[in-house]
Amino acid sequence: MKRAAAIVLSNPMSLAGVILIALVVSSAVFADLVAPFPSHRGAVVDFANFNQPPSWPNIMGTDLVGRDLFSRILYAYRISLILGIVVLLLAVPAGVVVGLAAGYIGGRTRFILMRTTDVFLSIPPLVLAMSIMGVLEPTLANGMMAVTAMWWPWYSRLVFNITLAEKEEGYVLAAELIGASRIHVMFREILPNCFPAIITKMTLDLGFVILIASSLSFLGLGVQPPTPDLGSMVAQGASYLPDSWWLTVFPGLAILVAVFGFNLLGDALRDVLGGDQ
Amino acid sequence: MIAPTLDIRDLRLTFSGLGGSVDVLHGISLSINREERVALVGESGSGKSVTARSVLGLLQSLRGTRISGDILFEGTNLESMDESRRRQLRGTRMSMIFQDPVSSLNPVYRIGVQFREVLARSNPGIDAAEARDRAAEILSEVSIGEPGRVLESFPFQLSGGMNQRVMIAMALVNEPALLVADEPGTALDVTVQDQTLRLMHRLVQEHRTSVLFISHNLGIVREFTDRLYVIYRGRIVEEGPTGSVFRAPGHPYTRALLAAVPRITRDEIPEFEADPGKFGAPKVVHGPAGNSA
Amino acid sequence: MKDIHIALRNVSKTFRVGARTVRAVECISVEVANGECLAIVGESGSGKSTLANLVLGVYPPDAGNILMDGAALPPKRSLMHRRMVQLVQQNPLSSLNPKRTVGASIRLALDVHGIGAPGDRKKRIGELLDEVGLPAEYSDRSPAALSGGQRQRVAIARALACESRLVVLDEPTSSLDVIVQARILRLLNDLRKARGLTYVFITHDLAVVRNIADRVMVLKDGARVEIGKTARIFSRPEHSYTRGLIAASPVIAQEEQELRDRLRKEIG
Repeated sequence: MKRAAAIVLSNPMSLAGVILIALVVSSAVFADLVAPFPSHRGAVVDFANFNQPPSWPNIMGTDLVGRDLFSRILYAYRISLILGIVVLLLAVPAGVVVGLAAGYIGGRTRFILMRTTDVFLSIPPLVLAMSIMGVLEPTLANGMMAVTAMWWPWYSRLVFNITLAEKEEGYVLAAELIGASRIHVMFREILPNCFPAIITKMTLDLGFVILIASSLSFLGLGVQPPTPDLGSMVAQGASYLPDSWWLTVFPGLAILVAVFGFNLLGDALRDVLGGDQ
Repeated sequence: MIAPTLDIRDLRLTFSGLGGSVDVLHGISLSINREERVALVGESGSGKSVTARSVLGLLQSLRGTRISGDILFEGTNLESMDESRRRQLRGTRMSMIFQDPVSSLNPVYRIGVQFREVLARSNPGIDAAEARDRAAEILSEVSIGEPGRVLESFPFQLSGGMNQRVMIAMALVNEPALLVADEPGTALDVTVQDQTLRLMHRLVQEHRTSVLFISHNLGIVREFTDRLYVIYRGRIVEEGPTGSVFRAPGHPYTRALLAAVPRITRDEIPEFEADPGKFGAPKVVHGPAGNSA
Repeated sequence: MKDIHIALRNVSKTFRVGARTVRAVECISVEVANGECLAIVGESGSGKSTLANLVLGVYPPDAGNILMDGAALPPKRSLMHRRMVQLVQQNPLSSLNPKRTVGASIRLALDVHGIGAPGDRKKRIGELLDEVGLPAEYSDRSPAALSGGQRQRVAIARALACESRLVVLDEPTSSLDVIVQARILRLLNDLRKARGLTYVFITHDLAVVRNIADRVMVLKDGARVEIGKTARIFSRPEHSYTRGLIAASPVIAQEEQELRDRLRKEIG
């Protein structure tokens, strides 16, 4: 732990990542306390104050119906983070099981599992998500499903590659010669050795999931109004550029901070955990 | 008086990292005269490879490495030399052979191309035909029957023993004054290792090259070196002509080492009196209080 | 001999490498008696590792039989068969899972074979560690916190946990420093006597063989070159290949040098 802290503190980029993500996470968690206008997360209309540039107390200006942009961004973070975490909680276990089984068992199992993975990987992620969202209703739950469907194959790839390497290690042979079951070898022997790489990738991916989710809602396929969402905020503001710049610049910056922060944090974790996959 | 080929004086080396700093070498002094084959013998973690790498100047630019002491090469202090001049020496006046020949040769270039590169280090104007002739000549010295074919090959097309011979030829083609051999042949089968080391031995004698021989294998050291230093936990514990150290080892550590080597004429497992904890872990990694990590 | 522990009868194994087939082991027969240490010696590609894997049941032979205590082993081994033979590998850094504690690695054998009541297994792990000369507290340590020799002791304890009487030792001391090697060899020899174990000792190091083995089988290109009592193989090797192997071994003592010189002269 001390060593981990030392590694992070010794690298200014890692430190920046930790600070940025601490900011993003605490704004999401404490949005109710921090937001100057908590009610503006919903369908509030304040035409007296609509489309105002940054000023006190609306430090990031107001949107087209007069809601405080800063408050909405804080709540949008909360939704983005929940979405990211739920997506990864679904995608990672699925990908891990597929990757472990394909890597360890081999033969036909490997062929079927990895070719399926390849099919998913070969479809451009946004196209896949868009087609799923096009068929289903554009709700938050369906949005998560769509993003999950495009995310698990990356984990099965990652875990598959690590499993192929770990399989050659002597401890796998030792467990097999003792007579341990396949399930034991995969989940108790090999899987723990995949954790550093998985955790690192999950951290990096939180940023990318937020980005993809924002892209979907930018296209009108994600979270629906009045729920605050960074992607749709940018989309709405885009037609008022450059005069009402704050409508796009602040939500855009918010996306940037989250994605950049998770990337830096992921790199820092890679240094600490030593997972260089 | 002629200056020795290599004269290391009170070499100290500390690695500092995030977990604190580790003293790896506690004042190594070692000298190699002209045409002398000197071994630095020790177990893993004793600091022998680190010493070799310091001589070659491969550690000096690493972050977190602190080196003090002098390394004199043919009378010139390497430690006060600038980095580019030092690099110029490597591969020309001093060269090296590592344990694993396959990873020491570049897999994507033919042997001939790699030879020419090495030759160009000491003679930048050398042309292709001349480089080829010189390479073929030295390859036949290491008993390679068809130097032409070998020069046209990639390293992976040759056997481990053949690659090791190519490495030896490459290391000696520029007529260096000093050859640093770090566990040469360790990765090879015993019969191939034996042939390779004999070849190397003959060649360095013919070319009158001084050798710093890094090894953990006492049998090999006994056969191929004139003098030896025993290194234990970053300190030299014994020094002397190879024959007399083997006949009458002075330091208890050397005695324990020699007693522990299994012999092909004894049908029992070596027994030695040294107390169990004492020489079990020759690690240089220890804290400020000297407690073993 | 009625005391045969394991017997290989005309065992062959071929591998397919790309388009070629490689005969790794070619029609080898050998018998190992109870409590005996048989060394299998050869250089890379000699088939010694394949032979070890055949004994262990990593894969079945293409032809021939493997008999344990007189009964032929099936191509696919059951849990009961697994318990009959265990392995100690060359590199304990790889053979012990870095993410599991020493105790967990040993416990696996006890759990899989239901050895002892679950409540007693912790105590059993302590006893096994004690048997290989490690304190019972090491059970909670990770392999990374141990030295090379200590790791190899753990690997030996794990092999003993199954209570197999046959242990395949695959270069068990090659990655160790010489002083540690001597201690591990001594431990192996003591365990063999105390438990009446049978060893199949795979190595390229002839000096180690001379010190620990009762008999030696020399392999070359998958075939048996010669087999015999250790002392005889070293003093009067029948085959020139064996002579060459002994003569190429590094030596440190005068008497060894004399033996080597004599064998070199015989080769010519």
